[in-house]
Amino acid sequence: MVTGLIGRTAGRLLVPGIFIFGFYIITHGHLSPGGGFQGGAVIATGVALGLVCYNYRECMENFIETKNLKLIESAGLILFICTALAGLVLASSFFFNWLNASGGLFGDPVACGVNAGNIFTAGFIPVLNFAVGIEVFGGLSIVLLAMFAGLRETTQEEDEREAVNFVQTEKEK
Amino acid sequence: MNVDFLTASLPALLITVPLFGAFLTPVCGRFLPNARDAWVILTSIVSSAIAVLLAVQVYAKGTIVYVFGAAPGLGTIPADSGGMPIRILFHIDGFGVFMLISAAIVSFAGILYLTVSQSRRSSRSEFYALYLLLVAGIFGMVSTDDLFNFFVFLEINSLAASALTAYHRNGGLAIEGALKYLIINTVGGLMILFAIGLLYAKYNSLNMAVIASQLSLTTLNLLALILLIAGLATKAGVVPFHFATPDAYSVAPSGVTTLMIVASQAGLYGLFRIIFSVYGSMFTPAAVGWIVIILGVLSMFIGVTMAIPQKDIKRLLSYHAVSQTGYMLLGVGTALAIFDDTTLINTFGRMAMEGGLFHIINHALYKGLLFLAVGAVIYRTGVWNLNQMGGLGHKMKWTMIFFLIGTLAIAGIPPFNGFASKLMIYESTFAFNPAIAVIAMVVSILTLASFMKVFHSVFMGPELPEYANVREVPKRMLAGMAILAVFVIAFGFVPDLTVNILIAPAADALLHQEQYILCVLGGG
Amino acid sequence: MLAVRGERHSPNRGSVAPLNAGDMQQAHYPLPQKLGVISLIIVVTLILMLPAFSLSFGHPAASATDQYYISHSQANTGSNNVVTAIVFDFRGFDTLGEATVLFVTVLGVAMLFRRIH
Repeated sequence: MVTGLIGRTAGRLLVPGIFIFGFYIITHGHLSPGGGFQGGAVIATGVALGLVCYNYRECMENFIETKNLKLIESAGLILFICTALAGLVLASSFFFNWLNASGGLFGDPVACGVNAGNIFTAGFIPVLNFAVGIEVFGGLSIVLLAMFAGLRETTQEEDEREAVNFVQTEKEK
Repeated sequence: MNVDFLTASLPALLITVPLFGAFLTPVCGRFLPNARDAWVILTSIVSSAIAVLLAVQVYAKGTIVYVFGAAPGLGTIPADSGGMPIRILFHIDGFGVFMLISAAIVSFAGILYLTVSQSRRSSRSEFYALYLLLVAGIFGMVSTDDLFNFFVFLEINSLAASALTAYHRNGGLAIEGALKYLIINTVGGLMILFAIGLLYAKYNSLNMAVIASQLSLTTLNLLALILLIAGLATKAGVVPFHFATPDAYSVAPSGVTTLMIVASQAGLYGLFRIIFSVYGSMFTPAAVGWIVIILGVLSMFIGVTMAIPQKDIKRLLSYHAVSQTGYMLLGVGTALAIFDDTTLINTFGRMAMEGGLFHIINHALYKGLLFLAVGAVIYRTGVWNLNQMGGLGHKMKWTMIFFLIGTLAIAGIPPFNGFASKLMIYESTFAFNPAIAVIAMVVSILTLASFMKVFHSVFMGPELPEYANVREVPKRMLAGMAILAVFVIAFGFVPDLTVNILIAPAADALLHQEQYILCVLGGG
Repeated sequence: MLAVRGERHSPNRGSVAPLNAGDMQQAHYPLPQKLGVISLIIVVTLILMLPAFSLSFGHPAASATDQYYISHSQANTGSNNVVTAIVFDFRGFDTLGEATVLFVTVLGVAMLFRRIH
């Protein structure tokens, strides 16, 4: 179904905002409550908003498609397992935090105790957060789209005809 | 990267390789569809090879303990933690390696079979990815030393197996079986999770060795034991909790059922690990031993009596799978019931334990072979019902030979592997309590009768006109069946060698709990 | 494989009647069965609530591992959030397992809702 003009406009405005908010939750997982799973679920609600405001077919053609989401989901998990394997290859054991305090990408050392929170700390934890976030986003969106694919959506004329019928039956009572 | 480093990180590769293969399979299926079958078979070969290499290493050098995420140079226990391991450990000993070998053989045979038998269906990338994830779940479940990690792999197992069961949607029949399997296994998993929560609240550790070293017998620990036994018996398909097994095994694709049998035996692994290595001899062994024996006898008897009147051939095989699980419980339960009596252990207790454990791998091999042969018949003819089959032996000679090998093995006829393990179970339970051995032999005779009926109605008799143009199945499916048949015959011809190499280390690992604790806490 | 649908009959299934909206009625169980179900619910609830009364909340009997996590996580892993440190560093392998569980679920749903063209 297609919602009215207000619904569609609000959807168009809100979806980028939801994506940014979800990405914020993912990125700041090691500083504030949140992390990969929570942020990915928030991003998936953006896709749900798009599905609610627009037709399933319009979403699939203009917004995002199931086969691309499958790629995104697989990419997230492959990033996760490659980061963990890099710990094995570069250092000692599988899942060793090889970026921690190393001066590299996320490798600033952290001041002990209560501190202001530097995003470039915590080793490979932000990388894993990102990987899990896009995996959860891809996965939940695939579930939404797959279940939506089986529904028969009503067209604009059927919606209006049903509204007219409802008004008439109310008048007859 | 030298060979030593590679060998030292084999436990990590054991899980990583099937996971990586599974994550890449949908991508491969989209961009290079012709290479996808080859990728899946390659991943399966490499994971089975890693499992066998790990087995060789454990048999040569002893138990392997692997820490996930340890900094270079630190051992299992960091110096400032007060003697507790704080990370996730893998503890692979003789029993774990024994289950790994069985899973490696069966998973490879299954994937050879499935790449041909499902070649005409849609969404195969997801199917193969789920199969590889089920393999990873089984490998993880039998290697881990951490209770919550065990639960996570149990979840992977249950979900992947139920999704694979529902692959042939069949107008709703397969989905119904898969839903039943999913609900019953999830309830079992929740019971296990509750018990893990109880143990963590009391001992503040999720490591099996740490809990084993501090365990005492209180009400809450007994409650945790009962919940764990119930949950793991649900996973293994033992009689008061077996309701999902026939429905799910009969509607799943045959290669998948072969692997699901190994997955439910991983549940048996968990049961024996909890009873022997975590709880040890804390409780009165006779009580829990008799509970296990009673569960075993019920499974054997109810399984075979429900199997006899079945007309659906795969449902009949599933009830026989329930019945054979009873033999394994019988053997290990007998060993448990006489656990604290050292003389009896040395006379027939070890033989009972070894018989029960030997039956685990034998059952996976011959029941897998039977399911694959029956699946080949269904693949060519399209019918499940015994009343409508007949005379297929004329056209499908190799399938008939493999089915005959499986039948003789399950009935316990001499040169095949079923005879060896059943003989060990009969001798030891007869010395313990003759009535139980008599029940076991009666069940074996009923099994033989049931399979004679099946063999006669499927393969013997005159050729039927509706099966005039039925041919033999493609060679890759025959290769899968041949792998299992070779092991069935080999284990039957040299049972002493098999018991000494494979089973005796497993029985040792289970019977000596202090060795288990020492490997993790003492040596580091 | 369309012929398959007709052949399959497992003896434990009775005939399946089509489910209409008007056929839904309340299931009437006899009294002994109702009493059995109610007593089972009461017993299971008591068993599951037993730990709530036996274990003390907030003052655990043993807390060595928890104390180690709280005091060492910032130094060892470099993240301010102890929960994230435990989930992704100390017990990161379980997180890989959980991400795999989500992947299994999504693959299962995508496989079940597939369209055959």
